[in-house]
Amino acid sequence: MANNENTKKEYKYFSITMWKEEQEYLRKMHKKGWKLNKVTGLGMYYFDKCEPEDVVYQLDYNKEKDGEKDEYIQMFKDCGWEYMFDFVGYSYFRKPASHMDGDEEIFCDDDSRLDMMVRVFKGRMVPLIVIFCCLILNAALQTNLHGTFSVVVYGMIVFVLILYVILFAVFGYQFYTYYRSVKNK
Amino acid sequence: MQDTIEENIALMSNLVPARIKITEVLTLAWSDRLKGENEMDAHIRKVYVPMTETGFYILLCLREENHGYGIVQKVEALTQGQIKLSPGTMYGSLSKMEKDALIEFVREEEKRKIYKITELGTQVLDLEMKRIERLYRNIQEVR
Repeated sequence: MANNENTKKEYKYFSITMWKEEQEYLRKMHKKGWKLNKVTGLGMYYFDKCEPEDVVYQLDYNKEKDGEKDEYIQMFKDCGWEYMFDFVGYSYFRKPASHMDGDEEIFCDDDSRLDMMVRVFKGRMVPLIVIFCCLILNAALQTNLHGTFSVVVYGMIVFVLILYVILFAVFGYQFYTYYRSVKNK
Repeated sequence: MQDTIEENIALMSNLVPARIKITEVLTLAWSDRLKGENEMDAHIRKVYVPMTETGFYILLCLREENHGYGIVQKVEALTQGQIKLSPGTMYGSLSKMEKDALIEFVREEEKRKIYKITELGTQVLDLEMKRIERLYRNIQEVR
């Protein structure tokens, strides 16, 4: 699908810890006259052409809402936030800056900002760690069953291991940076 | 000389029972306090004593049945618009407090969940109010 004058799609990668950057990106796009329509796959953002406007975008990550989504959305709606959709566990909200006095966010204290960080960590990092452990367990079982295993398999496991360690280090650091940014605000 | 020693002894004998009384009272008060605190779960104490401003206003408002947005409006009115609670914070706090049994779900009205404070919630609110009253008294003393 090609871009035409009324729609636009852009590929953008935001890691697990970069919801703040994503919010800013979406706000900037809306200011330029492109309002978010949907997100798919690994980060394909679809926009519709609109009047340029300062609209604040916010992401929440909350699994508590499962089973009472209507009530969840209603609370945001009551406070003037438009609910758009869910994408990989995140709920997307927006509200025009003209309807706020000053900058408004969906969180008003640091405790709830950090709570959200912990929810993201549990929801997205823990599964990664579990997969990681399964991989190691699997490798150990393989060695036990066959006694030896080929250099290729061994090399692959070491490669994945290194990749994971790097990923964890990066995410860990990003979580820490976010934590600091909340604490030092 | 003799007189002053006698006076001192007399004074001490007066003081000693008084001291015992004080220590008795203190021990009693202390054990009462320990008892009260032990009844409250360590987790609850850690998270809610002291608690966030949002948490405090939620408990304060939920002495009467209300839903999340109702609390937001009430707090805005109570603080002359100075505190505007956000929905993400409100939703998160309500689910956390319900899980910790400080508040309980009563019923639903037009997709809005109505809550009420529980016995435990009232105890926690009471502790917090006393703490804030103490702060306020101390502020008055230095003013």
